[in-house]
Amino acid sequence: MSNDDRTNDDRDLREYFAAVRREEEAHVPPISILSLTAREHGRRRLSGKLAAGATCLATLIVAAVWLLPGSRVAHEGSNRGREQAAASITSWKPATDFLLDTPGRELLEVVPEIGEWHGVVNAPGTGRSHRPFKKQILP
Amino acid sequence: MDGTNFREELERMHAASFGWALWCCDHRREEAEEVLQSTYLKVLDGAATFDGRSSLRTWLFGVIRRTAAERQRRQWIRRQLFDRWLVSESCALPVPAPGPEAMACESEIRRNLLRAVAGLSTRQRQVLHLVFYQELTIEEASRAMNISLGTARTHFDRGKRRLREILVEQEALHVQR
Repeated sequence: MSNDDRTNDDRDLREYFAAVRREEEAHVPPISILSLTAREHGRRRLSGKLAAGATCLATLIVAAVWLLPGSRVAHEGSNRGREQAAASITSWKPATDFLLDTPGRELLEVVPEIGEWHGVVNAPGTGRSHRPFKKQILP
Repeated sequence: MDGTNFREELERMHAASFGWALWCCDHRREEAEEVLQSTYLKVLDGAATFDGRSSLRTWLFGVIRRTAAERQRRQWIRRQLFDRWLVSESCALPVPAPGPEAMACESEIRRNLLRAVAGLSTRQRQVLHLVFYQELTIEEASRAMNISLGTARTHFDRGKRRLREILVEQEALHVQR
């Protein structure tokens, strides 16, 4: 069946569509307006693309300037920070440290040698002084 | 085909192209104008090139159809993305109803036909438009729509049948009133 045979009995629909076409053709915007605006649109699109490209380039440059040397600075800064933190940790003393300062504490801090005693035997605050006791070494 | 001839051909087909764009955009006039504008831009800038495998008209209609589809897809994505957070444009600014002048200009035949074709699928609507309105053959319509001839015939036959049914229903309703 050819296309013409198929559509011979569609005269009613053809007439419907033709009437609509005639009506719509009366309100078609002139091509000059469309093509002109198309060119403007194209120019606007081009300038938009240029602006977007320039923005991207500027962002990349700024990122390169800030991040590359910045990363070195940041690295150095972080090292210095780490050292400072370590120093502060070693020199730190708790506020309640004095409570541990008990009589005879020195005994714990001195390692006695065999045969000789240099340690202080009088406890602080007792008022009594003792001579350092020299131990005799047996032959 | 040189540039001058090409422009002349575009001008000659302008009314038909606008009619097709209008139907591809569900008769939203502003949208159709933008679609046609984008199509001309693609054609004149060389973004869409005519390879001579079909007639210029069929090829141009294909470009218009794709441009309209792209636009609708973009709008759909935009709606899906932004409607969650923002009040949609369609909600904020309802589509203005046609003014009295436009209503007066629109004939009853056009109103009836547009209401009837709204009940068809997009492909049925498009193939009927290309065959009855643009007077293309079904084969040319299938090329413009980028579908096989068999598929185009099926849509054409089903669309015709359904359109007649709807028109008869409309007429019956009109008589009842």
